[in-house]
Amino acid sequence: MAMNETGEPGAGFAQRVDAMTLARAQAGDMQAFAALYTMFGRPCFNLALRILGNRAQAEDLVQEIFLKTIGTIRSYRGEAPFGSWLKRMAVNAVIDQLRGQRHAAETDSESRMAEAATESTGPAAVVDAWSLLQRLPARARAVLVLHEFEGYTHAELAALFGQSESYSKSILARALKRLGELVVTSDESMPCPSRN
Amino acid sequence: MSEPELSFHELAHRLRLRDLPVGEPSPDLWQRIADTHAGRVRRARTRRGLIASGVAAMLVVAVVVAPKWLGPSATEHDVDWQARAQALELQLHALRDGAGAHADNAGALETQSEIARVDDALQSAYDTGAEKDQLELLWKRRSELLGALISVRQRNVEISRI
Repeated sequence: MAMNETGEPGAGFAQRVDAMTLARAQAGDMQAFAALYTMFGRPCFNLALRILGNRAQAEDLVQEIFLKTIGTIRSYRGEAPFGSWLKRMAVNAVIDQLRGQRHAAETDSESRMAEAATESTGPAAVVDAWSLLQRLPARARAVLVLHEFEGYTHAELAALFGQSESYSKSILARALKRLGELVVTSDESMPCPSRN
Repeated sequence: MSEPELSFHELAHRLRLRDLPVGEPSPDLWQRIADTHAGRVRRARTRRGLIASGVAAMLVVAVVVAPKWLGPSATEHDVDWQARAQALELQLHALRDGAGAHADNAGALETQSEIARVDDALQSAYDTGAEKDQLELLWKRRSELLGALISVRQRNVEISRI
């Protein structure tokens, strides 16, 4: 099961929005949009931050997502929960952002992946999972976050990236391998209390 | 020595990914979004206002100014050529009376002959119950010929005064 940001059901994008708030938002009530932001601003921000790895970029993306929501919420027909609708918009915005970054175009190359694994892995550099995730190339990080945290299937990822399922599987496998290498390296270079 | 292969779940456990700190966007982010939206709405209103002003200006041009530009050609269709011809006839007579007898030159004589032919055509048109358009054309031709004849005679009067 995919993990959301808190690991609790009904949190993150899974929160339910009452019909009145949605109706008010669809009528253009900014207070209703503020309520939607209170519920979903953080999940959007974390999704963007985990993939982009940059606070300013993540905030810009949240702004873009909510401005788009304000502009398009009238087209929301309620076929899926609002959180799923918003999440799809957020993921598409993140993928678009990655496509727009020149750096992202080369992130899935073997050289970039190898570079990520051979960069300095001193104790301070690998001490937390967050920094390890950030050491992955952006596209690999996006595949990993969307697959393992947000529950996207390889078929969905293939559609999102405009690639084959095998491409998505390959990127994920390589990302996990590199992460494993980084974990082993960090384990070897750091004193572990359980071994003492 | 081969590298150990870890599944994501093992990695997640080892890295304590579930404990990844949950980031918080800046407290003023919503205000920035609301301000940006308000700015866009203002700009859209201004744009709509400009477009509306442009459309209104075009309407003014269409309703007030254009008829003045198009006036001559528009009213040409409404000219009563028969009445005009009669007015010119009176003008011609006045000229003849004021200037005394002058021998018409060849051009004037030719015009007079043409007027006579138009008069014949008009008579037969009335006799045969011709359409209004056909009569209108003949009256128009008669007016033009009378106008030309008046011009010729006015020039003759001026020359005789010199």
